[in-house]
Amino acid sequence: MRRKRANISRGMLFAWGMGIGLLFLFAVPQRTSDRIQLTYARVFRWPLAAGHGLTLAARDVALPHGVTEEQYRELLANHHEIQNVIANLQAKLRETQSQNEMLARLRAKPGWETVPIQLAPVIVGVGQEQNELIIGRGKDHGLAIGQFVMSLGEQDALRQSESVVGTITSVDARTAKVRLLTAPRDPKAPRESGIVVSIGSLSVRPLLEGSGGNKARIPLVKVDGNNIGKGDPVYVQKAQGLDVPVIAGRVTQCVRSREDPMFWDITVEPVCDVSGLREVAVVVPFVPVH
Amino acid sequence: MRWIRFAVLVLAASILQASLMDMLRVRRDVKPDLLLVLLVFFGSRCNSTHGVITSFVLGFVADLVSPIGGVMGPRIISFGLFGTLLSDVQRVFSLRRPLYQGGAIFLLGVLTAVLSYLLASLRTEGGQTHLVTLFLWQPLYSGILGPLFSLPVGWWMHMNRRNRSPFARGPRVR
Repeated sequence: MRRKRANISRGMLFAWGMGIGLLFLFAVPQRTSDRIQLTYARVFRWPLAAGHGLTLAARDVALPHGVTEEQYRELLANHHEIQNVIANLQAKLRETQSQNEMLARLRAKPGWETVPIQLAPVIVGVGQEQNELIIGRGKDHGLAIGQFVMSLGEQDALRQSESVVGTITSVDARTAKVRLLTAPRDPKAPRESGIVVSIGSLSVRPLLEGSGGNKARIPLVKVDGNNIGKGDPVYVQKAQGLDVPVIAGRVTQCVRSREDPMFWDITVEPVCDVSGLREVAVVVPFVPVH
Repeated sequence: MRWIRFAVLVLAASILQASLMDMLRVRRDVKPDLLLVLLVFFGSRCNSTHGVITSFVLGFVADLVSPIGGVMGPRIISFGLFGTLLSDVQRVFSLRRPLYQGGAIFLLGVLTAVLSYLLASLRTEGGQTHLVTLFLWQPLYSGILGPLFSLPVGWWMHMNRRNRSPFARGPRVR
């Protein structure tokens, strides 16, 4: 028996096709379209996954002989970790090189060849008036109470280079607290707790004590007919490992003392802007081991 | 027309398009469109009735595999429309030469992409699609590689013979 041939005109086929297309475009909800696409992906999951795997394999580098894909992935993960470690070490190396450069600059100056120095990063400024600093070195690095802390002339070598900014007041294993020269003196502390300084060419060695507000003072100085002018340098004297006097500030005011008019009260302003410090140098005196 | 072979071919092409064609990817997202190549192949070698059917079927599969804007429908319409037009045009122009085939693939690629994009934008916002890739690079790449697929597809579909059935509505080759 002869099979009856379906006789559908070309125009009708075209109309049907367009109708189906328009139906999908405007009438079929997006959720249904998604479901059809997902069904296709689910039904042909295996060949699609195999093709995708082949594509990925073709993109990957050919594995060396005797290395499985799992081993390769493990090695790749290790490689990435090692890259991170190298990046960290490189950062540390750059920091150390920078510190070495600073130390080398310092050592090149006359009088500084033998001064034992430990560089320390400034972690944070402490206190209402930023009278203290916390630095990232401690007992483990040889720091002890009373040691001098100096600024390094990183940005402006002429103005800030090697000036004493304070002393260590408390020390932990890996951190230490620095009391700035300008920090007000504890009223209970003896007057001798100040820092021995010299002013310009004067022969006297008075004590410097902080007065707050980024100022320090040298009370009761016997001038002996020598003039003290505004801008005269104030040096911290050799002590605690310092082999040379180091500038700490400059005289901003010199007036007769109210306690005893025979003496003078001198106001000193530090030469270093502590707020811009990122790194300081601590003078760590050599202690012989018995 | 051998419909079972056609079904197997379209299925294989859809799977290849969704997976292995990534191996031929250039730049970031330009890869040949196998379904477009098949559209031109069947549009230029089938009689017009079969041309209409194959065009819409290929459009449906293209919407399944790589829908524009995630919407189904635009490629059914654009493939159906331009595939039908091609099957009409091939009565006048023979598209058997690789150069003509490549040109036809590029032209149809551009036209179907533009129409599909416009239709899809009726339903969704245009958004993230990279238009130069969609309208130019992809059709161009398909046009360059497309003629290479004609020989194996013709062999599979038994359409590489130069003489065609006298009952077909397409042009006779003497």
